[in-house]
Amino acid sequence: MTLLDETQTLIADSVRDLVTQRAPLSHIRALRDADETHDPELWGEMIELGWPAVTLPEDADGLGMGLVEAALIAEGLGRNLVPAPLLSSVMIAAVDPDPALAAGRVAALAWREREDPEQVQASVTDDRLTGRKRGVLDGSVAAVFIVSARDASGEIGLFRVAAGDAKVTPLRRMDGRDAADVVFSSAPAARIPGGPEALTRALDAGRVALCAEMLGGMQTAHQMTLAFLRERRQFGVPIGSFQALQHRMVDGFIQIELARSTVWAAARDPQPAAVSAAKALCSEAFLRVCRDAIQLHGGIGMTDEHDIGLYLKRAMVCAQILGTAAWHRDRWARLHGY
Amino acid sequence: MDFRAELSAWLDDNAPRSLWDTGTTPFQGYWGGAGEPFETDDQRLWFERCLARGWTAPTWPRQYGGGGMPTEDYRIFSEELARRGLPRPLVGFGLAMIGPILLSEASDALKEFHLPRIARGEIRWCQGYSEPGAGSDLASLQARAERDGDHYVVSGQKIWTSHADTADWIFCLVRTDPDAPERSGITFLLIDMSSPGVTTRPIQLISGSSPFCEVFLEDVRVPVDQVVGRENDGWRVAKALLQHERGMVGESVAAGGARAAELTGYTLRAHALETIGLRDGRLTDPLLRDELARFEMTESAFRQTIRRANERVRVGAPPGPESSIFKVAGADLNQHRWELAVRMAGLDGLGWEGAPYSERDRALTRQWLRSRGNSIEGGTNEIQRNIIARRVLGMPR
Repeated sequence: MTLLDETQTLIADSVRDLVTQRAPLSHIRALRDADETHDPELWGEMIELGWPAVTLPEDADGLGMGLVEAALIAEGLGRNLVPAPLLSSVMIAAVDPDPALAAGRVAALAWREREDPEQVQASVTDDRLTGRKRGVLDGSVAAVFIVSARDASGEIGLFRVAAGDAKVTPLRRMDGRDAADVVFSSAPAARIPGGPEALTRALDAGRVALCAEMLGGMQTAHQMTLAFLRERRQFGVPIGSFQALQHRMVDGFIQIELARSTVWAAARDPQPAAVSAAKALCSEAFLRVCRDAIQLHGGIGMTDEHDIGLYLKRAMVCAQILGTAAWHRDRWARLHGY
Repeated sequence: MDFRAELSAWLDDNAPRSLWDTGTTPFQGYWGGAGEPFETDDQRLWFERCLARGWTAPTWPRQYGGGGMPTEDYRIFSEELARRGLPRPLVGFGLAMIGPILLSEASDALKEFHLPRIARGEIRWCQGYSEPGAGSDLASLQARAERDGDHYVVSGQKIWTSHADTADWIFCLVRTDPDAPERSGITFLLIDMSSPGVTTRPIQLISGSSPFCEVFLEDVRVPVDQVVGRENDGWRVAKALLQHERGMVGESVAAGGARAAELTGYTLRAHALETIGLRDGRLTDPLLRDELARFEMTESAFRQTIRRANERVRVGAPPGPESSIFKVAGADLNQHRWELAVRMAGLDGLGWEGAPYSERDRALTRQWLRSRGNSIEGGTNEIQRNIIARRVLGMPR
């Protein structure tokens, strides 16, 4: 972001403070080593700051802000790979503005069967939902699921299901981010308003937040690499003085700046095409910056001891969820009539 | 009435309709110069009406033929022109490059001599920097200027001089002290192209004829009062000017490419629909379809980045790091555009001359070939990356 208003600056500052003081990379690493995908204490602090409710309307006890503010928070968390079910809150607030979100209740969007959100087999008959959803973000910490399923007429709708009524299998992914496979077998389900467009709205809101998170992550990975190239000496000089390495860093920097533009454009005006451009560019930029980061760190970059590897793993996971770059290019082409 | 309302009314009454929606970059429009006729009567009318108000050089002081326009008004002026797709009444190197440098660096006498002529569109300028042996390593330039009384005698060769064959004056870097360290022996000198000893030769490119020329200087006598800044201080002056040029070139390469495409109704998407065709609402070549989407997304990101940089300018913030990427990213983008266009055209994208190739097919070939130069001219992409690495990323020497 280049120009922030006063409130936005305050948000950016408070994210930076929380992340630096309460969620340094050593803490993130400790969570991972303890096999924890969630930090209730940290989440509690975010709830007090109002972050899960940042996009929730004021009449639902939310802050009533927009995706720009949500993206600012996500970017800050992304810088340090902070695990928090914020992304899910942003998605759910777009379709089911429940005051419980503001109180920190985690609701997760269970949509994915195949990559295309419209390929839905899960179905609801007589207020009972049956189906399998894969890789549900924040699925193992969710108290409630918002599930995409076909109603009796075959139309895609969204349904609320209590987590206790589903079979949740937590996933252990390479980046330690919370996700679960969820099976619903005649689970009691309550319809929430909206059809397929509501699902798209939730997904696009989540994509904007995810892109902002990726933007934060790629910046840290790039900065860590720059710092390393200044310090690491071979042949009697800092290796950052070598032109071949400088040019790779510049190419990464260019990708980051282009990605940044797409994130803020999509946050300001989350039209489907703008969101898809952001997701495609950010996915590829984050991966590229991290691939280069590992290469330029050399052997130490391959060790588990070094933090840069955490970013590579996160980059791949981010690239593969909520639509791959190729899927979003396909969507862009469809939206533009080719 | 405020300036915007007054200006809008004036533009609506005075800007010839045929010029609306024809251009907004710093290099599209009337270039001026002694041997440079107007392309149309409307272009002349537009120029003369603006000249009468000092709007050919809106921000320059009135005493030098400008409009004395405050920054805020100039911003509005630019916006209102852009809104109508109107070209500047006068464009070119005099206005965009040498003029600003004269304003900040030259003696009063030099300003009085040159600036009003530029503003009146009488002089067309060219830039004599590169030499056959001095490209990226510009400071190694060899053109010599030896003092002889109140003149310099200049000998040497310049290359890649755009429009030298139609220019009236050239601003040149010449070596005045061969014994000093490279950068300390260079002087910024203004030379009348009609002086005896000046000859030019146009350069054929891989894409065909071009505005680029070679300039040969043989014992050319130049009055010493045509030095900008001080003798042997030319490198500093040139650097100040280069900064200016790079921002402009980056933006105009991309904007120009997009604009040229729009003007001919020739967007890559329309081209794809025509050359590849749809089946069930999708381009029949899935790989080119994916690549077109990739290109369009990047182009959109590039435009958003320019917008982001302009937002900063609007509120008077210093340029952010994003502005450093325009030259490299703009060149890459334009090259991607034309290469994709040729690939989409299949065999029709291979034409050079004559039937059965249409004029548009042939233009495509040449645009593609010409675009390879985008990453070379105005500072190669490699030099740009060196600069970004050191200045923006703070990487060690």
